[in-house]
Amino acid sequence: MVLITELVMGNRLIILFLFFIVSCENNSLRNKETEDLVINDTSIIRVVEYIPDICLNEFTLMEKIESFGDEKLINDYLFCKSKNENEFLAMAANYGDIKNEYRLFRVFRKEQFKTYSEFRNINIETIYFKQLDDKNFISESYIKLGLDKSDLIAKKGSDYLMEEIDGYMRITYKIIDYEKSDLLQKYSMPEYRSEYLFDKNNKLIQFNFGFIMP
Amino acid sequence: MNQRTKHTETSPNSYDAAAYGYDYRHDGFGGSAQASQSAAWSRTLTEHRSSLWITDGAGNACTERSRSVNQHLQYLPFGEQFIDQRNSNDIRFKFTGKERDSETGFDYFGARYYSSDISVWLSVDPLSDMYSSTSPFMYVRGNPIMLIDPDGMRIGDYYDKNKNYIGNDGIDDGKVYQVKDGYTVAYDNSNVNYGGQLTESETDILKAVSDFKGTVSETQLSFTGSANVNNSAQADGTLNIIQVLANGDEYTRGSFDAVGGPWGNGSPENGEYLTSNLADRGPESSWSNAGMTVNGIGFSLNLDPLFETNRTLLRIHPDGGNYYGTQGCIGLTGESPQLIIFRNLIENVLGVQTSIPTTISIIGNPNNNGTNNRASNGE
Repeated sequence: MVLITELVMGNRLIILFLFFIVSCENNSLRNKETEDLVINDTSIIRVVEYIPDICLNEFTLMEKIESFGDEKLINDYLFCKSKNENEFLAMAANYGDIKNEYRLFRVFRKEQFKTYSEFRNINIETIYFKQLDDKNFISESYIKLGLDKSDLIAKKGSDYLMEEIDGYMRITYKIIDYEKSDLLQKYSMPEYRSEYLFDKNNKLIQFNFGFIMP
Repeated sequence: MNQRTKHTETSPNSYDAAAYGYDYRHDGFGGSAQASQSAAWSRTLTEHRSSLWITDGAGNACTERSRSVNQHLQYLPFGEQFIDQRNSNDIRFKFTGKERDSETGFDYFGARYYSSDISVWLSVDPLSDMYSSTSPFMYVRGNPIMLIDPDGMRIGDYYDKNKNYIGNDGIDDGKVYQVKDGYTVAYDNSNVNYGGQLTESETDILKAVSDFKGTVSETQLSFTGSANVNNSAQADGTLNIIQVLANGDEYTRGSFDAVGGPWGNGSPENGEYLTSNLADRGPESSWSNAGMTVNGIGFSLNLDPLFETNRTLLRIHPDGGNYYGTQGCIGLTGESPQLIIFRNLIENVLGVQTSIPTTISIIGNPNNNGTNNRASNGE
């Protein structure tokens, strides 16, 4: 059995086409975690439904973080550091919701956070960070910095958009069909999105997931 | 130069003709007071200390009268002294009634000084970027026969006799004018609800038929609307900017289409709030936010409840993003011109008020306070 773990632009169209055919023949496949299909005599594709993350470490999107108090938000973001200060976390506060609820988590390597801080025009040396005891930031599907791109796709499936941004590859998954999404309906939000940024070695250097402000 | 304590926050320039409702025209020499309708100038007696000043329609101090005439002044159109006859000390209040500095000879208009000898302002109009076709040093657009400038600032907002907003001449300076009874303004201003700016000729016409009603003592915001019949978590309405005068009279300066909800916890609760902290959220901003930006116009205002509630981080902002509505913020649904006008008006208001009292009143509001009560989106 051959597991296709990495898609390049050339064969991606073929795979998507095959995926479309398979989907038409057996729509139930889209709702199954894994399914091995014989596409032809030489290749087998693993079709994975995209399952969104809502948890990062002990934090859950759209749920009040009980351990937090009067946190200092900077333009509606709470910035946090990992225990050894090599990972950074930006939590986007949720407009119109209760205190200490967040709608989006964004995790950075330290180098990436420097780039982000320049974009936001914030001083990484003086900005307030909430120091967390966590050594790493890891999602419930075990997405963490340093993950291989192929491993991400194996976990999250092939229904993504891939773009090159400033020399990095970004993979994006979206959930936008409100009527078909229990997740969107549960939180009464119009869109969920996760984005993953990979360096030239296909290692994850930044990711975020959460609900998009309408 | 005399020390002044009076100054204005926005220190705008203002062109004014008969701004105080005088039915009067100059004689072309700025002071000899030939009233075109009745003997208007003889009625415009202004008391200064123990003396009475007789001013013409432009506010020029023409004659000081205590028990007898002490001084008689006439001016050339731009304020040069033409006639100065007096029996006693020279009066200080001269061209258009403004105090002349005895050392420099400059007239103090409140926002800046004017030199009547050379007919120019001595500093740039702070609002010159709004009037690029006019020199920032020019006095009353070069038309002192028709126009005066009472305080070096532009005059303000015009309303018709029913308090419908007509337009403004470029800036909120806190002055409110209302068309007198007997006059009907047949004025097609398609932007009227958003605070359209009058042309110079339109302004001149309105000046002649309007009364000065007072200066704004406070500006307030009011969101009024109704819960959507198909989804009560969504409120459709208007966000009104209300000017409150010192006597309590209210004038609605602008009405802007807006929405609250339906996402998240839905529309904000009815009640009293404070609005403050205008922040740039546009694409060029470090804190750009697509959900708060429409066609490149992005900003946000904090909307803080003055009552107990679990809901936080409410805002007022353009209803940007890919989806109609907000998570409880007030989303402005207008297009760029209206958004710019709203932002500029609020920016002016927050220049003189630290916060803006705001009322939210939604008919049929579920009043979701955020306690395990996430709104259904109705879909």
